[in-house]
Amino acid sequence: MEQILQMTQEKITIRDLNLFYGDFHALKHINMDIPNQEITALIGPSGCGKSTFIRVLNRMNDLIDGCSTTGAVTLDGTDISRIDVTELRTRVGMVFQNPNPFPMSIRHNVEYGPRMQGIRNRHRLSEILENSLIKAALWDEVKDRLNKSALSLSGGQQQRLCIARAIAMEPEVILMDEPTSALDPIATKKIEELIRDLKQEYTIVIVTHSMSQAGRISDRTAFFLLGEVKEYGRTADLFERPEHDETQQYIQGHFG
Amino acid sequence: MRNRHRRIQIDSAVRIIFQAVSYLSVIALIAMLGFVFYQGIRPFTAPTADQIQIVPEHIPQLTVNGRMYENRRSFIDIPMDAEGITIEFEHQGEHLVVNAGIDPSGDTWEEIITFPPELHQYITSPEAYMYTIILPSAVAGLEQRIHIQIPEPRQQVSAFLLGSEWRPVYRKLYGILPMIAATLLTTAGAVLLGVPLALLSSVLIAEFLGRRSASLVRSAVDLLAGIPSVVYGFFGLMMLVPLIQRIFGSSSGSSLLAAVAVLSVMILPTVISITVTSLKAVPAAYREASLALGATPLQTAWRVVFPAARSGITASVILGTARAVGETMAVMLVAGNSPQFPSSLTDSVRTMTATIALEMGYSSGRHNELLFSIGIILFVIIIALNAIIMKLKTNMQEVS
Amino acid sequence: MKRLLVLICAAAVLGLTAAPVFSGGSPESETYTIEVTGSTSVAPLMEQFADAYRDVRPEVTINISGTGSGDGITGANTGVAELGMSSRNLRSAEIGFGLDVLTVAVDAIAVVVHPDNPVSDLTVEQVRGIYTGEITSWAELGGDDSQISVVSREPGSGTRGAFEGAVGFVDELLAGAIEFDGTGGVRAAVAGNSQAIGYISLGSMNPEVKAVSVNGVEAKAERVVDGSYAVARPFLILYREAQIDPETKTFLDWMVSAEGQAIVSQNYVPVQ
Ligand SMILES: Nc1ncnc2c1ncn2[C@@H]1O[C@H](COP(=O)(O)OP(=O)(O)OP(=O)(O)O)[C@@H](O)[C@H]1O
Ligand SMILES: [Mg+2]
Repeated sequence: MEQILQMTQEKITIRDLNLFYGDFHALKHINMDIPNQEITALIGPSGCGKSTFIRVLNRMNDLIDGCSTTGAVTLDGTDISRIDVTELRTRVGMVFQNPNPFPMSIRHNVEYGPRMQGIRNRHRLSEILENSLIKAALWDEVKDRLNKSALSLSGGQQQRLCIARAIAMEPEVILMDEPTSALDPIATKKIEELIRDLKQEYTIVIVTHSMSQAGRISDRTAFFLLGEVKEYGRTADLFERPEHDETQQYIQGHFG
Repeated sequence: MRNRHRRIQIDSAVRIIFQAVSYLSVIALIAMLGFVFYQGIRPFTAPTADQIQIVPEHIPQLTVNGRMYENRRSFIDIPMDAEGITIEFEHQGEHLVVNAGIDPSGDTWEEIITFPPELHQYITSPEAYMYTIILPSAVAGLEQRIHIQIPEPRQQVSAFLLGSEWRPVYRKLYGILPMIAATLLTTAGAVLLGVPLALLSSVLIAEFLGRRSASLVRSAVDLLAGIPSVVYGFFGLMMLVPLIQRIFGSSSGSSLLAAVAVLSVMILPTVISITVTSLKAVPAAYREASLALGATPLQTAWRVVFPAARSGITASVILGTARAVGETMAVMLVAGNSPQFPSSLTDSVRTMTATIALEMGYSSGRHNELLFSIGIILFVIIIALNAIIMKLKTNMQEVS
Repeated sequence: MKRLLVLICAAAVLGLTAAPVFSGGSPESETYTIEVTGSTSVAPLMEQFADAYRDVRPEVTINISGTGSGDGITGANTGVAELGMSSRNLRSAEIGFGLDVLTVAVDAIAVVVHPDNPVSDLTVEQVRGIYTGEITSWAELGGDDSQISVVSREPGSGTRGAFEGAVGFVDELLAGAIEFDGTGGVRAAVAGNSQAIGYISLGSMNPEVKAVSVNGVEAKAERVVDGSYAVARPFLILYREAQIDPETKTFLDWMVSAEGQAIVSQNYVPVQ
């Protein structure tokens, strides 16, 4: 394992991360290196801390009262607590479990992030809009109705719009928390394809409950259990030769 | 089994009581509206009377158009199509005959009755549509008088709504445009001043303050809502009015500005409480999505949360507007109540509600009925505002 | 919530039905209530009458509501109240109601200014000029160089009718004049503004405001009696002779008796 990690370049490193919700110790002594331009899947039973962990990476937990962390998380070698939180979030985008486009037009949804960064040039915004929608594989479906409400899209389209919205920020990392759990198999397939394509440009961290999904799309997998990372490695290795019994049992669907 | 039977009985009895109470309130509402509309519409549908009315004072016996009346103290009716009026009576031992002609087609009320020239020196017109013939007497206070009242014609809606003079008692001019203007101005001013303030505090309460301070501010706002309006008015009268007088150096601080200031504070609680509720109702997912895109909390509040709560906020603004339109007591105390078009912020104005409250107890006849007409106009304004809210509510349901 | 409402209604109904039972507890002393409504200017005098009358006939209660002269006249006409109060003479249209009229007092209307105002004497012409907007500055009247704030009563007020009639500018009031309902409102407005002028019932004078003399005559009851102070009006009680209770008739007679008029003379001008 050591050997493998040295071969790739790390985008994010996590060292002895602990997270507390008040007295509740939600993440315990986590050490992980997330390599650049790969897809890292996080699996584990419900309540084990996957969402909590992924939200550490763009500091969304800052919003929660009584939440505190120890340890260090770095992005390209810089501690994320030293990076301005709005800048961090432009570099680390996020897609949520339930599609949550803003109640505005499709255009305004995608342009929202860049506009908030002060980009006003219409030409530039249109360019971003088109590029992001093309990358999110949504362009052909919505190019004639960019000014229609985003809420008029189907669930799968909405989720791709949310991905486009994240892409519009030109982030380095995209975090996805169960992005397909609210979607039907066909929409799920589309998004999975999209995620694989995005790997060319972005580092992706994805939480999923579907073993098959993790197997299909990810390069690496981390197995979380009760706030700890039980096992972390190449997806193929982890699925074929898990080191721990719990991993084995979880993968085979015995608990969780 | 029996127990169950009892429960069903109690249940239906309670239901009947509830129904009775609800129907009662509906009936009360309809009765009230019916009364207001009946009173308020009458001036526009009929003249005050169909006849010319005559009443004598200190004349024990008189003959009008051939009929004799003794100790008459109520009106003697003379049809508008009568040839004329002939009144005969004894004055200081003399037999007097007063002859007057009637021309019902006269354009103004002065043209309807013509008196012979020799009588002119005895005739006064204490108010419009009214003549009093006064005959001298040796004893002061016992002058013989004959009052002749000409019916006021149907009030023109346009003269009522667009007339700019409100001289209801003697000159019988009933133009309420200054009052409509005052209501619109005070309301608009209060909305312009109060709503931005209310929206800012709502965003602060809903998005930025910690739980403890948010609830503190909210309960303070709720407390504001509970203060009786007369207290606002009194505060305005004692503090604001002298202050405005001092600052602007005007002759009196009772002014449009004072009314606007008091009203804008009074609409705060309405607007804030509804706005905060609708801001809180915006799904947390929108906030998270916005923050995750690198927007600041302020940008998030302004660009995402605020627009998402738009219909609730509009509803709150409309309710605040309705409150400002309907407010009576506080405005009456600080606005000065002059029925004029204000030419500056420091001019005194009189709102529609203040007119009703000021004059209802003192008015009579057509003047009194027209106060109800003002009530109808207020009612229409409030209904229109409510209709907008209804529309918003259905829109909101369609969206979600 | 609804249940609470029902409870309240039930309590109210109970209270209403029970009240006569309790109050009728002592059958030997027949109680009687006289309803009096109308002018807010007459109401204070009526309160004094009612206080004193409690000693004369304890079994009679007098219920007073001060709403306005118009209301008093309408109330007496329609029979809503047994007695109506008016602080102005009946207008022609009201004479035809055929009401009986009893004058119980004459009240002077004092023209009042702020106590700090150096002006203390005005002519009737000057008062008229102020109220019609021809005179706008106190400087024109020998006072400070400040604008006059004209305070009036609302249209239909008995005091206003009498004042405008006596000063001679009926319905020509300056459009920008401030209008208040009730004597108290006018008094407070004048007391709080050194540039203001107003008019109130002499019976409601207090040191917060200063009465100016009119044509050199002080606003005093004696000056009204001798006819030199012109701004005055009667306080009227309106009723229908044929419909009132004997108990009410006794009260009417008492108000114009020596005893009743003694009360009048404390603040107003008696009628005999
Ligand atoms: N805001 C919070 N305050 C307190 N405890 C929290 C909070 N959010 C999560 N937790 C707790 O932290 C633990 C981890 O939660 P988390 O949401 O990260 O689990 P998860 O692995 O994402 O589960 P799932 O697969 O069901 O989404 C849980 O026990 C949860 O109850
Ligand atoms: Mg989760």
